[in-house]
Amino acid sequence: MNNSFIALLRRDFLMILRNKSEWLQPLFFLVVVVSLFPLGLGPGPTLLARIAPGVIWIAALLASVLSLDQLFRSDYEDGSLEQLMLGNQSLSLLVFAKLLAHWLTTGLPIIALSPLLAVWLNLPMEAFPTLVKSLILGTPVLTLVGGIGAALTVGLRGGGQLLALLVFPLLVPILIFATMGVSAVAGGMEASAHMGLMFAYLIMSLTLAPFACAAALRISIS
Amino acid sequence: MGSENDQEPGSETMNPHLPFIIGAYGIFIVVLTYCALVPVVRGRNIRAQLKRYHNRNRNETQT
Amino acid sequence: MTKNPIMLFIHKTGSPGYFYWLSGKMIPWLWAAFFIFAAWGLYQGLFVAPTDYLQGESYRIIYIHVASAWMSMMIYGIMAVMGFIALVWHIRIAEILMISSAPIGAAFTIIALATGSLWGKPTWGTYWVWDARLTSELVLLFLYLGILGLHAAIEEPRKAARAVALLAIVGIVNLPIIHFSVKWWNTLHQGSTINLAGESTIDISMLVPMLVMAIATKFFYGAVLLSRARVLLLTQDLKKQWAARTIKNPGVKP
Repeated sequence: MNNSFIALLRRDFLMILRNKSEWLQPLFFLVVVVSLFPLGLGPGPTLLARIAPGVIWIAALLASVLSLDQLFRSDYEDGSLEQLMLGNQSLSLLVFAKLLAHWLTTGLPIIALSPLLAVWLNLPMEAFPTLVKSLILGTPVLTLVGGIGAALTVGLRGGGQLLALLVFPLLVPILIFATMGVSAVAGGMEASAHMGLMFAYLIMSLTLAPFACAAALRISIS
Repeated sequence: MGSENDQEPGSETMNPHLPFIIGAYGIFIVVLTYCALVPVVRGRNIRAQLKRYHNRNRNETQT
Repeated sequence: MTKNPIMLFIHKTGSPGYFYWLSGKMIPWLWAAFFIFAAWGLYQGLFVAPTDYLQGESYRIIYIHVASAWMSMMIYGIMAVMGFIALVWHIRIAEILMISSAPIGAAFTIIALATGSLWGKPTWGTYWVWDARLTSELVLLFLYLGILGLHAAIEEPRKAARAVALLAIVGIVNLPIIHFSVKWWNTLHQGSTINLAGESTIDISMLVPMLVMAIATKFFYGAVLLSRARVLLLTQDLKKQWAARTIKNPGVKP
């Protein structure tokens, strides 16, 4: 069982890497969206510093969710998704492999880019570690919870937009915890409660989301 | 603050909150009425459709 | 086969013909109860309860605002329960009841938001304020819209129902967390002390109409839910025997 997990993980990871646009596009999107805010709101450093946590997180959320539509779609279209489901491996485990591959190629780059975005938006330096921590704890949740939405909408025509509509309300808590935490540290206070809550939410998602995702796939491909 | 809301006896002015109250209760009534009427209209249509379908079937099987 | 009358009853309601007939019998009573409670509640609320010392007359909006907000949350909970029953035991009536509940829940959410906004303007000066309750209601509305959207996007009705069931369950698990996070967000961001819910103790004369309206809306939900469920059942089972029999002999117990 571990072999097929690693095999699927490798396959998906390499597939996404080789198709450059699939993992670069969300990053370009992230960068462009973040830069729209100073352009739209004016370059005033105080304003930018205040909105920085929210802007970075919202952009990360959008970039992550928009790239989720592809998560199951290409496998659905060429029939390999059904093959996976027919096998005797645990579907939840295989789903987890795909979600992990997605996070490695979407979430990690977002985390890596975040200091640059923070500098652009004039976020105080002392908040940088908290920003990165919030993204480390939060981007997996974006993938996990978003994966449930992707599984429910795979093969549907409304696709990406419907996926976003389904998933955004569910991601409100981590958006709130993350941005409030980073803002708190930027204002000189502590964010241990926020990070603790994000960690708890991550654990909950890690345990429940793969099962929900697998169940959703079984419903969608029935 | 409460004294602002007391009207002088004999005054004819409308309570300034009235449009809001009417608006709120109006929305309540309109939305719920719509919600309740949808199944009534659909029900009528589907029952008519049902009658036509089964009458047609009965006539066809009776030949 | 079980002889327990409750189990027997539950089994029978699983059959479409019986459910259709039974719900048809219940609906008039539910409407009657709704009108009685609503008339009583509105009379108490609009004419008998005294003018609020601080807010004047506009506080009377709470009689429909609070009832609607409670209903919007209760219906989502019922949908999640029905969804769970539908997914685990594959009971079709549960699917039908769940799907029929969604638009009603969305309607109550919209009413809660609109009435909350109209209450806010004369009381606090703005039509919208991002307080904990209104913001939570807004997110709840998005959850409902997601459910309605997902159901509309899937063509096969039973598949659509199962997908919605899963989404409803995922939503209900998240809902307490969403409420908590919004409340926290609100208390920590607040410059002003606006709280639409109000911390003031409510006088009993104002509490009674509120509870009466809450009960009235439950009967409304019951009546409209069963109406919608019957129509949905008929629509899906157009070609079935029980439907033909119902049309031929309406009102006869199957």
